[in-house]
Amino acid sequence: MSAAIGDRLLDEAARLVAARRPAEARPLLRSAAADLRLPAAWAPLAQTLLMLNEPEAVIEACDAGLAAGGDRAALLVARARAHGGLGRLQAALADAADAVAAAPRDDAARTVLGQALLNTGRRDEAVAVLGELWREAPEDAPRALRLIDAMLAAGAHPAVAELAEWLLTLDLTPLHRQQSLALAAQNALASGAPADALARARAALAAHAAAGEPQWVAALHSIAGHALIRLARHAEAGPHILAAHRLMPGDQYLAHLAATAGAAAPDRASDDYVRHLFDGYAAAFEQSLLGLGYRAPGLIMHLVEELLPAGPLGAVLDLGCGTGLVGVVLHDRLGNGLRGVDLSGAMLAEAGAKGVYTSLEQADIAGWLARDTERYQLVIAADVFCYFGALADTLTAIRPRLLPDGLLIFTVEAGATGSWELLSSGRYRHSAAGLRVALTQAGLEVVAMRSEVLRQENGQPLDGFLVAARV
Amino acid sequence: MNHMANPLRSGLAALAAGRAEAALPWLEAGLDDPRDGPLARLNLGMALADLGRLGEALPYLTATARDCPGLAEPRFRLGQIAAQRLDASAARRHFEAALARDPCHVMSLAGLASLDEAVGDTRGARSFVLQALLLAPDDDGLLRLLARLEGDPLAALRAGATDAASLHAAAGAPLATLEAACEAAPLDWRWRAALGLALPDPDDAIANLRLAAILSGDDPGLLGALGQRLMGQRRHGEAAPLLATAIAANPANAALRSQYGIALLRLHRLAEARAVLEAAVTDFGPMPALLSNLALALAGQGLQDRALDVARRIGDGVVALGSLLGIQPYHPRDGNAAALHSTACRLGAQLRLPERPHPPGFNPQRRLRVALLGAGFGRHPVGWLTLAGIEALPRTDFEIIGHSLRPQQDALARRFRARADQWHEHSRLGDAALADTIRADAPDILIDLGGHGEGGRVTALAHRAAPVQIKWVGAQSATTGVPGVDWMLTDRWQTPPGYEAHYTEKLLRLADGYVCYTPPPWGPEVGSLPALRVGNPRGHVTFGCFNNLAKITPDVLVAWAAILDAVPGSRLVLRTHALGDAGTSSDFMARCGLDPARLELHGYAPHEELLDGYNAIDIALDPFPYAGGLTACEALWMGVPLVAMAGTSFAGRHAVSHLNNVGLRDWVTDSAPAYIARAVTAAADLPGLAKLRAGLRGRMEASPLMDAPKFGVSLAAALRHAWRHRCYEALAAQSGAGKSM
Repeated sequence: MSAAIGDRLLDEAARLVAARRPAEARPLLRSAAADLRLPAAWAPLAQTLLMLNEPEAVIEACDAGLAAGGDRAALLVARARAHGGLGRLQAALADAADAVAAAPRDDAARTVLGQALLNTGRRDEAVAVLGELWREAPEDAPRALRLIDAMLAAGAHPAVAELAEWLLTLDLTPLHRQQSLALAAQNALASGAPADALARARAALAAHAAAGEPQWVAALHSIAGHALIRLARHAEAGPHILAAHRLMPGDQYLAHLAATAGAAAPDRASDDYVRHLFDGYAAAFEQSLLGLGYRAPGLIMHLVEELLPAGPLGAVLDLGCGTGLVGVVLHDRLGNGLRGVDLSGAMLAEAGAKGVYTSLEQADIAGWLARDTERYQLVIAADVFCYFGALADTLTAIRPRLLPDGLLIFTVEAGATGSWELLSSGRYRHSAAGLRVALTQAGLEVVAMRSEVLRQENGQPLDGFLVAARV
Repeated sequence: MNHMANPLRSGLAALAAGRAEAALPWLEAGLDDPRDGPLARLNLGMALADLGRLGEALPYLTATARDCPGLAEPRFRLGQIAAQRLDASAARRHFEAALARDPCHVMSLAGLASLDEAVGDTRGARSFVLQALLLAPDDDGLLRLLARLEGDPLAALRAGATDAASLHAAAGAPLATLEAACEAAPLDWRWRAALGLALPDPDDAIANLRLAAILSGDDPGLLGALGQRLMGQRRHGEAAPLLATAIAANPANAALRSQYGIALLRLHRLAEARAVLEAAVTDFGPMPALLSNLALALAGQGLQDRALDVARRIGDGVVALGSLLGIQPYHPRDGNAAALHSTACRLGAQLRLPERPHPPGFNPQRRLRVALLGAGFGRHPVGWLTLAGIEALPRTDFEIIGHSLRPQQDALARRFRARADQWHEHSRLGDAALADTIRADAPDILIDLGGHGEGGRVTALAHRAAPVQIKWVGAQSATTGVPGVDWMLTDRWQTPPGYEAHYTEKLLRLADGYVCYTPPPWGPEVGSLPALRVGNPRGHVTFGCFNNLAKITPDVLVAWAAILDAVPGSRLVLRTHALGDAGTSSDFMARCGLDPARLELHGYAPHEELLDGYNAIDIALDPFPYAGGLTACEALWMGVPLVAMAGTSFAGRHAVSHLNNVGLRDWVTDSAPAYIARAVTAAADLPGLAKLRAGLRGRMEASPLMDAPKFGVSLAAALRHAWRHRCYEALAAQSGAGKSM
């Protein structure tokens, strides 16, 4: 009797999942797994919870399923995905590797391993794993798209272009076609060809805007918008960014960008926005910043030389460390460790590769400062506060992290009419008066505030402030 | 029939064995027996009632009650049927009559208790149950009913009950209690069922009812409850088989049978829907919900006369007349503007509500807040015909607030939401509450896009949700009759001068057409003229009509027969959802009077395939008096011109407007002979047809029918005109008030 009921529950749940009704499948699977104690129910339950985007519940179900003797590889794959969704990239990688060990030829296990390698910055290995999967079934569009994704992150732009072009010659589903077109456009953007990216995005929009999946239509609008921003055609970018935002109203990154096109400005950039921005640009970021005459690391190094001239530095905290450029310039002065914090996993992977940081943490700055108990001789925030409007709270949170003789050094873009304003580029700029007020509110004393050119933007010098403050 | 044995005895034996169906022939055989006749009649009535064939049961039971005046049982059975037909007062009368004959009739006491319970009279119900328990102290049903009346909704379940009444009673307990019970006994389906019945969120309810049904081994009552919840979510395909199973176990349940009929109707299984609904009307009486859906099924089968007869029986209330207005425009004689106006006025007369003042508007130039109300914001005629125009309204001058009555996720739906400045989804709000919700945003103009059609809520406009209220596309077949609808958005072909008398609204005529067509992105290319293709050496002409059967009246069929007659070798291709239904298409074939060899019938096809179907058509024949709207646009966009006949109702002139707007006014006719002649003439000029076809899409794209920017200007001007009118009225009213002070 209960075996028959168990089969009914699993069959019915499978039917509901196939009909895209995971919420209705969940109670059936939970009952089969937890009440009827069917080990075979745990993996579909975990997969259903993944579809429902409930990663904590997935992990719980996987733990229970592994203990109960459920499908080991499938449960490890599901748990790897859940960890990945929660930003626990190392845990995801460990589970993915275990899944492949449990089922070495399992496609899902190898796929999730490839993605976990990608997310932890091990791009070449990711490309190898995903490339192997793709070669086994080259006309399988999802495999090709995943490989393209990895190669895009690895900066292999010519390879991406070639594979995407080939993929588009196949008879693709509309969704896969949209994805291919979007990735090809994204590739053009990332390889420094915004005009090409714009043309590709617009052509794809003309063909697919009316019937496209919203997130891909939004992605195409977003690429077009970014390409136009790169081309300094801000007025034309606005409608694309707004269209993307309307299609994906829950996406904080697009909401932030859309705010620059007219709506009320939030008082700092959302974490999603910053993470997406830099995850998207990590590989090309450094090169692009250096190419833009990015001066912040050098300016900061000179100010450190000036204010803390002798001997090795004590503990240093690099907020928004990005790819680790500040770590590189301070390398010779480090004496008691350099800790880096950034929202973007891809950026942190780049920083880690430099071998300068003693620890790297993926976190938002406010959350990190609330948890951290260390005190530092030097806290650095290079080109980070351009993603914050109101600074007083952040500065207040930094103050207790400074040793009595500790220094805070940061750069911001200059030129706000009030204390700060949000630009159509998505960044904030600040005024000298506003900075002084915020520092005073935070109980910090200005040691230096200098007008400096931070870098070139669209061929124009970008003015900023280099600021040092102490308790 | 074997008369050697005693038929009554055989029938009673079958009944006792629970085989009511098998008992019927025996009992029928016993009817004429002078001695056993009355008892056979009674038992035949009871057997039929048990099978849910209430309409057939009634005459036998009534006759027995008359012939055996001292007998309680037939009275009780009549009471039971009255209760099943939701006629509580008749049921009470019958139960009391049964008790007058037999004061110890336990089931009649229980019946009265249930009636009292249903209206919340716990004391009365309790007193009947206690009397019944004196007579049948161990009756489980009575004990459960008593426990329920004693205020413990869970007592029956705790005592092991599995019946529907006990489950529903348990569903009245607090959710937390039910959840705790499920936690404590996760494999006991009854608690899960009670929770599923209790949960307000439809998705949660469906999930829990499904789990309970599987755990119960498919309890039919639960399958029925699950089916009804799925119907509420418009998941008709999933609901239909569940309802069928539930009905097999409980055939006398009016709600299940009505829902099943509706499910079949929505699934375009029209012949079955009609049979189910007709049987339900026989068994449960002329309930409005049954009649209105039966009328839709009949109309959908192309039986306009019978559909109208049924629709007229629904009643005289607002809802009944709204249903009638959904059927009447298809009728060959009563679907004219004057008759529709008269029905609409009867409806409107019942909606006269006190005017609710809005803040006067005095600024004719300011940016306007326009609310849209409808259930078709997606892939729906409303979507294809309004989206481009709404998108083209300048944002600087018009703020858009969408009020959607049905959630939709397709690409068109996303475009509506992308243009709107605010978007609200509503469900199950009453008219007054819906109007209040719309009013909360203080819109300047409300445009109704639903009318009296399915999912439409135009009657809510009687509550004045906005100072200016306009009817546009969406069951826009005639005047709405609804007081408070100030304007009908139209054009000079839809409503030429002189048509004002047929509308309770003022006519707001746009410069060109009253709609702007958006073609689907997946549309196929226009092919060459089929009559001139290589495979058609004799140049035989193919006529086509892709409108629904409701529009295909006997007069239309007569005209088509004449056309086929006059054009040798010609064929007619019909394509609509209802023709995919075997019963409907064979019925159509039998009565249409057209040569089957020259007729090709197709059912549902995906939209792209449907459009591609026009590549096999030379000339489209538009129906009358209800013309093609979106269908006409699609034919023209696929390069196929259509012969149309101008009617008088709004629905009767859609094609007139579209043809005039693409410059094909010579394809509009005004009588059946002219219609026939026009089709025949067109069929005689194949080179002319080929030339027209080759250029028609381009011509249409350049015409007002598809020129969205131009249409946007025209729509903006019309809305501005309506607003200006309101400003001047407000100003006049105020200056008038000022004078009188």
